[in-house]
Amino acid sequence: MHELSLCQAIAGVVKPHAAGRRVDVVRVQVGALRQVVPESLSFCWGLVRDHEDMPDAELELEFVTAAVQCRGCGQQSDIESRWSVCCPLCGSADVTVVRGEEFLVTSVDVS
Amino acid sequence: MGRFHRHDDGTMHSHEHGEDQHSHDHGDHSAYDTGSQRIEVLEAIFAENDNQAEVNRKAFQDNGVRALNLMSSPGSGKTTVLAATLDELAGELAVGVVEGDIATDLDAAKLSGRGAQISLLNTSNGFGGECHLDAPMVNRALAGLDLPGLDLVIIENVGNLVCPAEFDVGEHAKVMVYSVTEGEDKPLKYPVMFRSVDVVLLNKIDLIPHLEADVDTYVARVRQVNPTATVLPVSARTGEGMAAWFDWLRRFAVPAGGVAGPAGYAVVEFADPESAKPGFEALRDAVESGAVELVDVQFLRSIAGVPSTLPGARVDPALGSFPDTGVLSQTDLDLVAEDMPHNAVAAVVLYTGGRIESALAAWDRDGVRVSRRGPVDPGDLTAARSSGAAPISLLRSVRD
Repeated sequence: MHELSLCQAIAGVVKPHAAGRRVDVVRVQVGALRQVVPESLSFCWGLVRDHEDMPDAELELEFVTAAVQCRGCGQQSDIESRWSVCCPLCGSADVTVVRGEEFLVTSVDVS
Repeated sequence: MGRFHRHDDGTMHSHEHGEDQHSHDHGDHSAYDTGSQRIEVLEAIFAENDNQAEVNRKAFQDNGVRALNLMSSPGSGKTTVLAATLDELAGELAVGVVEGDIATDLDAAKLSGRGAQISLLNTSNGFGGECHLDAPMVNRALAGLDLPGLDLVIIENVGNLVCPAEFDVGEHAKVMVYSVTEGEDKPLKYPVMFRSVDVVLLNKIDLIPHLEADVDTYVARVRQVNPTATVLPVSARTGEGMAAWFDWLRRFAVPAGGVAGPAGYAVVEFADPESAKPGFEALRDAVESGAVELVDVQFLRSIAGVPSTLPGARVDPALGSFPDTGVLSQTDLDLVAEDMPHNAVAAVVLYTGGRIESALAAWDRDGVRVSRRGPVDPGDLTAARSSGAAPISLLRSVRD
């Protein structure tokens, strides 16, 4: 049900840009730390796009891996873990997430 | 439903694969033969919500109110925590509650009669029952609260460990209730929520003896995901640990230094010091609990409209002592005395960082006249405190 909320928000961003034109493709960038389940998002999009009057709109997801900048060892690294943002090199929790929290509509195709 | 594709380049999309579908090349969507036009958007999906959240935050700020977003899974004891909190703060802080309940008013009923204003936000009117509160919804609920009269707004979110974490509603801090019966693995399963919060109330610790893990294990799991959150083990049922939570809340509601809290003054006129005593006691209690800071308190007698200051102890030793810093200038005292009847006694109370509602209520109850009161410009107050030189009329600065 999380994804249903997200899809509504996506449609809310797309609509003003579409300005009444038919929406063919919606491209969304999702960070790895966003806790988005692609299959659920896809399912919910199928419901929401009809409800929001853009029944032809396909959803394309671009995934962004997560990375942190560690204040402990000064290194920036990609993180593989789905839940821990600790520095994979030194284990420090004193980190800044530099990538992985993206959630934006990058472009739409209309006709 | 849409079918899901993962491309070699890592992108995915979904679309129908039923009958009567268009054919397409999975590798390239840039060249649709339908004459599609690509529009660059680059817009955060939560932008609209976040803009509204800023509007809410400003409304809180303008009214000297601190706001808290209280989140949890269903059945964590969130409403029980809140009920105990309202009981504790009644008469001390003016609290408003925005209550998000999917379809009922059961929680609101549980919270009523505890001295707080409650604005019920039934979320079932949304897309099949909302699973979270968003900023526009909270904005609507604020209409049901008297913000200028409040110190603290607690937004009780819908019980859900996923969606509420995504939506900023304009709060100053996020707090979650996480009960031990949910299992020690929950921070790892719901990292977005656990990472978003400032405080984790680890609730139902009275049930720890019946469980596999000890409190340290739960705290360690929270730490793995959120190294900086304040973790407070509590039992809302037995009251264990709750004092630490109430203390946190008091500090939150009235930030150190009183920067975000309102500053103001009140002129209390009284003929009989005895009748004013309970109000001054309430004032002292508010100071001791950290709810408010007294900047200056001046006692004066009006001699034909001219102020004659005198120590509080001379008015009545039972009133006790208050800070006599001289931040209130002679101009202010002149202003107060000229409106007073000859020989009347008054106290001018200058405060910051909170409200003095408990004292005002006591004076009102005891028939003591608060002849003037109002806000004081925080910038003027800072200037008056730092310079002993040119006296700044704090009372007039607002009145004019």
